[in-house]
Amino acid sequence: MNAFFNIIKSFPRYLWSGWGAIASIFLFIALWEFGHQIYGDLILPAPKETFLRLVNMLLHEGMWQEMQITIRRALWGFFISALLGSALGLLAGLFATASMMSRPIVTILMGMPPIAWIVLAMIWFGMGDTTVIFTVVVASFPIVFIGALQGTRTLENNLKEMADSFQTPALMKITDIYFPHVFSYVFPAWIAALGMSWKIVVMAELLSTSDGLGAALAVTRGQLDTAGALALVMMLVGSLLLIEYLLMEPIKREVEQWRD
Amino acid sequence: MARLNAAYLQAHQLSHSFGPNEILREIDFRLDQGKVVSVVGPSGGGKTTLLHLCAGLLDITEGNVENSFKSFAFAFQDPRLLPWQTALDNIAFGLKAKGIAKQQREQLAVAISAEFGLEGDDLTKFPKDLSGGMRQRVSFARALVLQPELLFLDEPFSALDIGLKQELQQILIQQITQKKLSILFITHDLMEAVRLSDQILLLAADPGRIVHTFTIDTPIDKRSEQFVYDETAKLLTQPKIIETFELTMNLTSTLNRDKQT
Repeated sequence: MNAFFNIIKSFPRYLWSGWGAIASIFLFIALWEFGHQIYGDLILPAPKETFLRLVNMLLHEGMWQEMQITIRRALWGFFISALLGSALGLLAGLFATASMMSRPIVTILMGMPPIAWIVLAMIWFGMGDTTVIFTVVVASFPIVFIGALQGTRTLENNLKEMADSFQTPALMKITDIYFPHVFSYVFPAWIAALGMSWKIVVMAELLSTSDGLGAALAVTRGQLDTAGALALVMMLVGSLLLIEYLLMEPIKREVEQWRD
Repeated sequence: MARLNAAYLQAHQLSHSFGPNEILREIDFRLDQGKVVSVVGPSGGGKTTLLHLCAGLLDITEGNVENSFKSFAFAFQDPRLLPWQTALDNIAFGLKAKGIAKQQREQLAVAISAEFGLEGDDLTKFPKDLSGGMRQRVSFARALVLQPELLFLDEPFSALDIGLKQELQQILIQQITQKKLSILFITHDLMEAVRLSDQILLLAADPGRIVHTFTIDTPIDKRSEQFVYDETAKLLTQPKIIETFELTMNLTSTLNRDKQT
């Protein structure tokens, strides 16, 4: 609860610190404009035109709904993999045999390209939500799983012994020692998995659905609509930036200020 | 009540093995209230095992330990602070484990931190922002805030430089004399043992057994630096010490010559 108030309290200062980031984004847009003047409309439409296209798409072309569909899928995939990955990773970390056996399996999962999963998922589940969410889950699950596994495996015996020497009750050991330690591994894994979900969802949609931003991206490619494609990319990146920097980063700062 | 039958810790024929390795063999010693007993011996000689057996962190398999002290606390070689808690919360850790309310435990923690030279600003810092010496002070404060009757020390000074070591030892000597603290102290540093203890047990390795006991009668707070040096030098000429620490003949002959001149 206290942490929550701290996050709210330090939020304005955190936002204010964002000027540097904004300046760098504007610099990037200037470079984009420069590229546009060299290569012309077809290869690289002007930033202004792309922004207008973006607004138009959201307001008049029904892209707002498509974006919601995509974000819904990404979040579902993320939540399922965060839940499964954390629970199974913690469990595997508690047993030496389980953590040893799960390592190669996770390596296989990580090594398998998501595009291959999409093909398999299309055969198994057909075209639609399930295929997309499944692909997101298999791609982000290993990241969370490894984070949770390492969190439990690296619990220091020293601190446990210290807690024992003070006859610490079991519940307090969990809240004061195990949880903060494991969380410090799991939380960054969640952030990485969230980023992964955002990327995979578009790829899966592009190949396997008729709605969502990915499908819209497929249409712009068909029509050589470069401005449209760039506008869609901006929607995706923009929504991820908003979630990551307005939600995740402030939480991370609060809960991880004890770190080096 | 406590005055009438003073508390003590007594080990009877205490032996311990890890699998086939015999670590300790038939240890006997007694620690009375208000006394400091140190166990000195080479590294890897089973000192920490002995301490853990006495503190109940390890299960006793052979022999027994009688402990009539009502409370005890521990300070380790490394501070073992929780990195995600502030210095204040770390000091209050043992109090929290005892179920003392937040406000009261913070008051107690603030009060003791002054005795250890920790100031307001330090208390809100996380361990990563404290120096090594500060961290060890927090660790000591965490143990002593509980006002234990018995304190277990597992080489708590060995990672500190000379200045910090001396400072912390001075604080500890104050606590020993003011609060009649009883201490079981593990160290491989003979001089430290001479400075702080009433009785020194010499623990030989393989398997760990007590081969000799030295008693120092001068009260702990009356020992000058010179006294500590002299006593240590005297101990270093004892055949048992030379044998246990495997001191080279060269060093011993030098010391003998010094003694004669």
